[in-house]
Amino acid sequence: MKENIFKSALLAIIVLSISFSATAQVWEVPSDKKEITPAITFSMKTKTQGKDIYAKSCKSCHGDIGKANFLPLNPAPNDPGSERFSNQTDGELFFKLTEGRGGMPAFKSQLADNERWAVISYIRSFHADYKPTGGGGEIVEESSAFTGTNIKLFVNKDQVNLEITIEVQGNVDGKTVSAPGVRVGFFIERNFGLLSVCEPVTTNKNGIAKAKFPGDLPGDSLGNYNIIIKLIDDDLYGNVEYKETLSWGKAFIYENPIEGNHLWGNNTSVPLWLLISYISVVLFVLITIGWVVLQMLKLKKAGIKK
Amino acid sequence: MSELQSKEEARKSFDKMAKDIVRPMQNHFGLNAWVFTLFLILSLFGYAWFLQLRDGLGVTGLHDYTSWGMYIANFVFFVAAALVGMLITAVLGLSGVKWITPISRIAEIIAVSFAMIAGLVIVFDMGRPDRVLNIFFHGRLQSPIVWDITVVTIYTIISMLLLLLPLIPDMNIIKKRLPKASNMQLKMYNILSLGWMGTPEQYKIIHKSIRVLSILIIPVALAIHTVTSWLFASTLRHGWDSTIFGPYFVSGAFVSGVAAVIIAMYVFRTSYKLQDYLTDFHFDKIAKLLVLVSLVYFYFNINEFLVPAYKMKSGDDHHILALFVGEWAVLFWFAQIFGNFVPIVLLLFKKMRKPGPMMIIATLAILGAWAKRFIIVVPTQLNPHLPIQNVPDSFHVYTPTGPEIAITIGTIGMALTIITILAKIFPVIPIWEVAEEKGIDREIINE
Ligand code: HEC
Repeated sequence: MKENIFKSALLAIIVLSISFSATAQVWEVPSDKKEITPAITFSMKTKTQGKDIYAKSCKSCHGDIGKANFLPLNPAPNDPGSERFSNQTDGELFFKLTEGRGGMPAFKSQLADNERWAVISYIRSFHADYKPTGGGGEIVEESSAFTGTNIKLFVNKDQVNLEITIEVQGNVDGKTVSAPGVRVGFFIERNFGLLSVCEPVTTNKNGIAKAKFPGDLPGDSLGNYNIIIKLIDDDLYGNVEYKETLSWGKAFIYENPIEGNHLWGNNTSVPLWLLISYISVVLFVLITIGWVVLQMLKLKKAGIKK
Repeated sequence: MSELQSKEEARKSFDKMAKDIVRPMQNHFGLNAWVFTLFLILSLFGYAWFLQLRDGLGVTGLHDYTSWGMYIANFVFFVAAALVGMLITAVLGLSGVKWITPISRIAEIIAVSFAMIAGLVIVFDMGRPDRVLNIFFHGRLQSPIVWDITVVTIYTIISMLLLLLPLIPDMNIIKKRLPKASNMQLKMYNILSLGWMGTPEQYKIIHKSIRVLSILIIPVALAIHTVTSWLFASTLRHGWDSTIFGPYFVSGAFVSGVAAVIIAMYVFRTSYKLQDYLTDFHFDKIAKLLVLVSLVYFYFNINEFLVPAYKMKSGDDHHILALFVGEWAVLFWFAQIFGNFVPIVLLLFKKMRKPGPMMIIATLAILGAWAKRFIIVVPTQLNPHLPIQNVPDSFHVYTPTGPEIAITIGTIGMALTIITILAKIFPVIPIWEVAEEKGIDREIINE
């Protein structure tokens, strides 16, 4: 109830402020900045990186790209999939995203250059007519993500370089083909969850993805650890994963901090210094008390003697 | 001739003194009412303890957060006041202070009874008292709780010895002067007198033993209260995480102990009619002692509160503000003002250093001391490092319940019972020591 009142009040304020304001001012970008071209090559990889950044840093205002569900602010953030964005040069988008204005935060200190370009590469994947101005990278469209079924992983280990090459294959129209554009995650099993060995790797045209494993990770007492390789987009492909125990880690002998004689140990593992101190102090006091008791007996004897 | 005469006089004066001190042991005027009161308190205790044994600690106000409440505050109080035995017999006695001679037995009686009850209070704090034995089977030597149990036990034993040893010559004196004593009682006196004849050798032995115990009890007494403070200070909690907690507790202990002795002195002086032995002079002296120990305590209080209050470390600030101006302010200032400040200021005036006013001041000081233990134990637990959440509302506060209060008062009743019994079967003033101080010949004393 309360929430509803609050919401409608907010809406009223927004509507009012929109109707009162003049049309949004034009956002001028200095011409030299307009001409700037991407510092990275747009690729499937930059796109997925950008997708993650967008979800984290932009979506709250700009909404889902293509759905025009951006926040009703004034001036409006607009849908990055719209013509308003696609008509701008890479340099313009980059400048606005970097410097910000009014309700649009400046991201120059929050995101690195590459990350800002990565977001743009993601936004560009929605602009059908976009021609890359930078290094001319290929962009695999969202809709062109591999759609085959019955995905299988083929694993090839390089014991010397601790490298794993994976080939992803799937069924398209009854034929087995290699699967490009599939994101593969490489993990090592730890006590409380999975440790990513690297950022997810997207398979190339031949369905190949590679990852190098670090050699200095602690394994069990023999240096073994379990690796898990699986497809990230399990909503598309189902739960496809590969598990194996490798002895690529460093042997790690676990020392139980409770074992041994410590202050925090149990009653059977008292630190020696404490045991000695305690016993010697208590013994000293008890012996003295015992001596006094002896004196009392002596006192009695001294009386009898007389 | 004149020597004989003076000897005769000394004998007379000693006789009178012994009679005066022994008389109240057989004159039970008003005792019935007092015993009845104690009986009531103990019955109430018995019922409350029965409830607690039957239903568990749920009948108390203790809960997950405040698991140490009134019981532990009471425990600390008893341990504290018990320290006075060491202060009077050992520290002052060994340094040759003479005015403590007639007071020393009262101090020892308080030490013995309070130390015994302190141990018992811990048992009453347990929902399953039978598990007290676990301390012997599973106790961790690393835990200050084990050290505490060790020192409390040892302190009780030494205090008992320090009570019994100076009683030996007195046993010999009183057994001839108690016409109404039963056979059992006389037998006990006989045993306790250990065949005392007053030979030089016996004197030598007894003096040496008392001396050794007096020296021994100083570190043990310091240990008992320092270790008790470590039960708190060895944790990281706000208000307990203090490096001066050991000396702070000891200094506070002296205040409550001396106050307890003053109250006992007053009560025995009036009810036992011992005005000639516990004189205004003695009261004046012990009043000054109370000022001294209160000043030391005051110094520690300033350290304990001013320094953290100056820094106001986050977390500590809640605790300190709650004490200074928050929900604990009334109790806190009551404890500080009556338990520390008032004794210092009032007792500076000569008029106040008289038995009557001192009785009132000491009573306030004792109440303040008790409140102070509560302030030390409880508020810290209600201000933990992690917020108190997802628990019943009642866990945000601690309110002692009826049974809990009854058990606590019961333990005080027990201490008073022990004191009453000891003061009925033993003379509350060491006759032989006082006589010796008056220059009465040993021969007469041991006749
Ligand atoms: C707090 C809300 C908010 C967030 C978060 C936000 N924006 Fe904006 N954005 C706006 C608003 C409001 C505008 C319109 C500003 C104006 O016109 O003055 C805007 C405008 C823009 C423009 C210029 C559009 C135009 O019309 O020229 C770009 C490009 C842009 N945002 C990209 C991004 C990107 C990329 C992110 C994430 C890294 C992002 N924004 C995050 C609110 C936001």
